[in-house]
Amino acid sequence: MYPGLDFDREELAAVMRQTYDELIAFVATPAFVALHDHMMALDPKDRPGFVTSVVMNRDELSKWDIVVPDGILIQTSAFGDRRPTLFAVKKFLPRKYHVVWENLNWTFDNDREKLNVPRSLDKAWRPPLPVELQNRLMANGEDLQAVPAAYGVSPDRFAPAQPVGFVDSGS
Amino acid sequence: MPHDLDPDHLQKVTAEMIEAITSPAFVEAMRKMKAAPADQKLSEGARLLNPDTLRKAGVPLPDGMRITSRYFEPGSEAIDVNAHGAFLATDPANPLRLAAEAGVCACGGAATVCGGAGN
Repeated sequence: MYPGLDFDREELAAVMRQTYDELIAFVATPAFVALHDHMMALDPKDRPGFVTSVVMNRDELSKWDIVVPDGILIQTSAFGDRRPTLFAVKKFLPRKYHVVWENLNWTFDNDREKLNVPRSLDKAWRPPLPVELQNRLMANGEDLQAVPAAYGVSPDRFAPAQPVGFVDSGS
Repeated sequence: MPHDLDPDHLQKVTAEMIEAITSPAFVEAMRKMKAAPADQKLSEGARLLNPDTLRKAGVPLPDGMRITSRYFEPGSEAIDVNAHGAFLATDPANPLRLAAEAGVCACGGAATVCGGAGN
């Protein structure tokens, strides 16, 4: 067992393996690969708009024969290191493990320029930019690294996430 | 060079990720970071999840792995997650929205597709 926890490394690794396998089974489907290849063939400035209009829209996804499995989420996000990211395919781990890790994901970035994304601690741990701002900057071909840290999301965002509302599932 | 979404490649990337992020030193660092007050999470993340520090503690971080702050936009799905991690559909007329999530993300993998773990 990990000290102070009611599970061990083998158990956590097993549930992570299963969860990653579920995500891989989705993102490696021919339909999703076709969507990904189409997106990456677009001009990098046009990809954020494609994500908003197609990737985040289940009706549009269905036109690509993509059905998102129950329990898998497609979300937009931003990183402190300001890598130019587009969207993530994500699945939560069971609550039992949230004391350590809450979710696993595949993240899709805009271009290979992230090789130039800084790794220094002072850059990696900046407050991430709001996604809408990030996407507008990418759509205009702007340098995400040039935006002052003050434009990042509020530290209040780093409070534990809580559902807005509650529905008793009865389970 | 394999396609970014080649399943064998993704399996290899995630095997390395799991080896790193389940290591006892990484798990302990994550617990401490999560316990920090919200306004100190970024500074504590930088301190506790410093790749050099983790490597010295024996964490087998894959080459190229990044550990950073991350912010997810709120989901718009009518969902909740039960104790087993399964999502539960809720009343579409009264959708349950996830609050914005922010925390740490460890990502490793190909140039434009990376496997990550977050909280």
